[in-house]
Amino acid sequence: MSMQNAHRPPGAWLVRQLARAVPRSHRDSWRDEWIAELSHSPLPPWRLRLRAAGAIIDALWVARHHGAWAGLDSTRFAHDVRFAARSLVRRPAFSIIVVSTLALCIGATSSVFSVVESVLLRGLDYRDLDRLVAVWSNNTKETNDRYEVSVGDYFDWRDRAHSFDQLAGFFPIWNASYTAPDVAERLSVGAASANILRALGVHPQLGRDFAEGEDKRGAPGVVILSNAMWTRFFQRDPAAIGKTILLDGQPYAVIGVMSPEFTFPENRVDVIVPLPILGNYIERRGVHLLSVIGRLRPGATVESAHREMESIAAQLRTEHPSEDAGLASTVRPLADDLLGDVRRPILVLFAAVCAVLLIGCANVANLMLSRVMSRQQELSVRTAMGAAPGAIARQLLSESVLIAVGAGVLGVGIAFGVTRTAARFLPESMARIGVVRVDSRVLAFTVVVCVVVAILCGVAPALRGARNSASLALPDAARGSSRGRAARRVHATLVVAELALAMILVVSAGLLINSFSRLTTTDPGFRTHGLLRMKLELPDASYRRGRQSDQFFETLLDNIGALPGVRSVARVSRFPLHDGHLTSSILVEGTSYSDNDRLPEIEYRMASPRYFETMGIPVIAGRAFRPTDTADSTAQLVAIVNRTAAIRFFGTANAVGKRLRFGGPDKPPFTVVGIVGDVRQISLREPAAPEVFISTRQGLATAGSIVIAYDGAAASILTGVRQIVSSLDKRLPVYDVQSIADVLAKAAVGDRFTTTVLAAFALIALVLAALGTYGVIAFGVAERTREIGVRMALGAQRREVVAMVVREGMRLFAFAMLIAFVGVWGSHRAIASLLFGVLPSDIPTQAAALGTLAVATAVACFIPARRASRVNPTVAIRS
Amino acid sequence: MSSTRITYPTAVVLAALSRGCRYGFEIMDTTGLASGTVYPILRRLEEAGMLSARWERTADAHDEQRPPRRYYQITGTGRQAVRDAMSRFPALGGIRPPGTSPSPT
Repeated sequence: MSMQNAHRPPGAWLVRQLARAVPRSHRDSWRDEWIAELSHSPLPPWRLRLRAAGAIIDALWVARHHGAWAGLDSTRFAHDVRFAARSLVRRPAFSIIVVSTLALCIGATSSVFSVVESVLLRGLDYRDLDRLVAVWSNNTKETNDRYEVSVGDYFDWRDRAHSFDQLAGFFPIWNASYTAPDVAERLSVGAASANILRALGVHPQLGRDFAEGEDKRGAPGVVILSNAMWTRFFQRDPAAIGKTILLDGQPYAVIGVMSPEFTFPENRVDVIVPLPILGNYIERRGVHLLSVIGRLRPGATVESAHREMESIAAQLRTEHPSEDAGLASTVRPLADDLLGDVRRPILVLFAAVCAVLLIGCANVANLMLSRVMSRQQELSVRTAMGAAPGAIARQLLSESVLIAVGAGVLGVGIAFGVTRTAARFLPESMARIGVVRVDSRVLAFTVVVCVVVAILCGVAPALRGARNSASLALPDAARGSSRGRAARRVHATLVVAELALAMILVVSAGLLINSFSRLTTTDPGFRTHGLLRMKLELPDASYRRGRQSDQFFETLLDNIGALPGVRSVARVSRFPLHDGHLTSSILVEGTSYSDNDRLPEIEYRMASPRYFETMGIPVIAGRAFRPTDTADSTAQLVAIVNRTAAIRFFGTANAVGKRLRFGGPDKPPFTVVGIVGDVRQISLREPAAPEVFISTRQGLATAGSIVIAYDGAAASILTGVRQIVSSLDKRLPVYDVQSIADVLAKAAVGDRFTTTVLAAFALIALVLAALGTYGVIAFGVAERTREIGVRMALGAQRREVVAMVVREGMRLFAFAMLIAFVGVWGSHRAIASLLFGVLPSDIPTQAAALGTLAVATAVACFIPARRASRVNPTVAIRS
Repeated sequence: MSSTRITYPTAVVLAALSRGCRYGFEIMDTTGLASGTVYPILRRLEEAGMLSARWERTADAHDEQRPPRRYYQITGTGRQAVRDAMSRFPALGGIRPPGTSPSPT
């Protein structure tokens, strides 16, 4: 061990600081003992630091037992609290203003923290989360490193990988019809491998886990219910275990019930069912639909697992050259993978609310400081009667502690109300991860916030009060004295900090509002009004794909088309902006591909003849689908591509007549008969990807959305549709009904949430900063009444007085803005990824924010300035 | 000397000292107790006269290139307290400083 380490061992700094709390008589001995212990220990530095933390308790013990806190006996404490309470009650207006300001800030902070806690900290309630990783295919050709995994690849990974205790695959958004007497409902199904719960480190609350082999085709159907599903359909009856339920007409035995806290990865689900529910998809290696989660073996790391998965991917590329060409593998921590999208907006909101809290504290500190200055006479009298400066400071600090406690209690109430209401407005991306609520951790956080608030608001006034009283100040002495100037400096510093923080928030909110308005006015490429969509699915068990299902949908669409108000009706396998994305590989005729080339991927949809007309998607060239585009052997197989696909794959916007094949050269060719306009399929933010449509009749679709373009009232049309469906087949549920406005609103819901909350915080910050400025200028004017009177007696005009006071406020503003722009620049990186179509350095937004804050500050300065200009010189000079 | 309550952690600390531990970190290594527990107990026992403390000889510490440690030793009163603690908590007999092996019984 080096001597340097001996002198400055880990934890020594803390011990030296703590030694200050130990009475002088014991200090050196206490410190030397601790330093000696820390100096020659074989323990690693982190353990030494941990041990040094124990010195806190030791120092407190020694301090307490050797009289350092003699002044803090319980009687005196109770006296201080009583005195502080009386003092606050005597000035109810002041107390109400500061308590409610802080309660609002603390409530907002605790509410946002409850989201941080439930989503980011507690959200993924899986055992040893740091051992869990997400494993994806990495489609190197399309630079998509979160490419879903085919079931074939998943089973090969599971058989060959040694880095994992468990490697589980799941499909998070499957739907199935649940039928029981008098019930026909669509359920969200998590289709998963049998080891999914073991991989996550959770166990059903009731019943048993899936057994090995239950995810193989042909195994008897079993299902584990979510707690909500168990409550809704079985009234929490434990006898539900062993009962059979029907999903898509097939029997599944209930074997378990999950706890209320459990959330399925990526999506909230009603039931968890083994993979075979996915039907024929699980046999096709070219279909990529699984997400995969691995639990690392002890000793394995993310890097070592990644290396192993890369070598397995290389083997699979050789073994399955057409399906796996260009596919590598990605391994990353599960927490990063699942929380990546929501972490940034939540942390931005948390930073924003902390800024609001600081502004609130600065405001209250300013108010309390003004109050201390106005109580100078009282404090002087108390000092004259023997109160020590320490006692004065302690008593003033007691007031801020009482205020913080009162605000904290109210703040928790606000947080309870807000979280209950906000939980309903939380975007699905956040809500699916955790249940937002005020729990013990949020309460503990609130206590810490209250302590910080008490210190931030109380220390400056307490020190100021103690210092002034120490010099037995008379009230008049403060006026124009160095103490008055020092107080004004503290006021001014606090206001500058408030204005700077408010500016950062207002700019951020402005950018988000600007971005959100661009996002919601983005043209999605289809009709944005008078459109209704809903889902309907024919169970394979009751309807044969092909002629029987085509017949059903033909009758259905004809009947719906005949309803009054319906302009046109169609169906589509997946509705854009709603149903996620599914791609297929294509082979474009006339393009040469080498054996090692992975075929290009294209968004793939099946649509009925009037789909483009119903959706308002323009047919740019060629034609839309016709009723004659059927699966009959005589009919030509036809495809329609969007403009992006036409240009990318055929090199021309008019690719009519060209041919393509899905999956490989041995598959039948489809002839392009039409080119349609681009549509935003995945999100409003992402531009259209290449897309191909085939006719529902040639694609054998049995599921998807019914799309209706209408005039008039949607409700009557929906009633008509339900009656028609029921008359055709009583067991078929019509579900997931949405107007196009709902679809668009849902597509922007995350942005709306972040923008609304940040705008609310910015507004609060603006109002608080303006009030703070007002308070400080008003205080300055009150202090300088005599000076202003003299100026006016010497001939100063009223507007000159107004200008002088406003100038003083605007000088603070200018100084604050210099600091704020450094802060705004620093916040660019945090906010850039939340923006759409706006740069973080957007000049108009920053100018608008600057203007808004300048007007607010000017108004806040003008009111006391006008009061100053009405001072009667004679009265002012005499006062 | 004032009377002191012998809680289980206090008894553990006394047992460790009676088995040859001399300073705080050694007691922690032996017993697994946290520093925030051990030191206040040492202070209390010292105040109650059950322990005496002395500083290590500077020359000895310098040989090991470190500052002198504060060593604790059980007093006569403390030894009685150890006997009481052992009869009350028989499991304390298993406490051994690191690097020592249990004696055959």
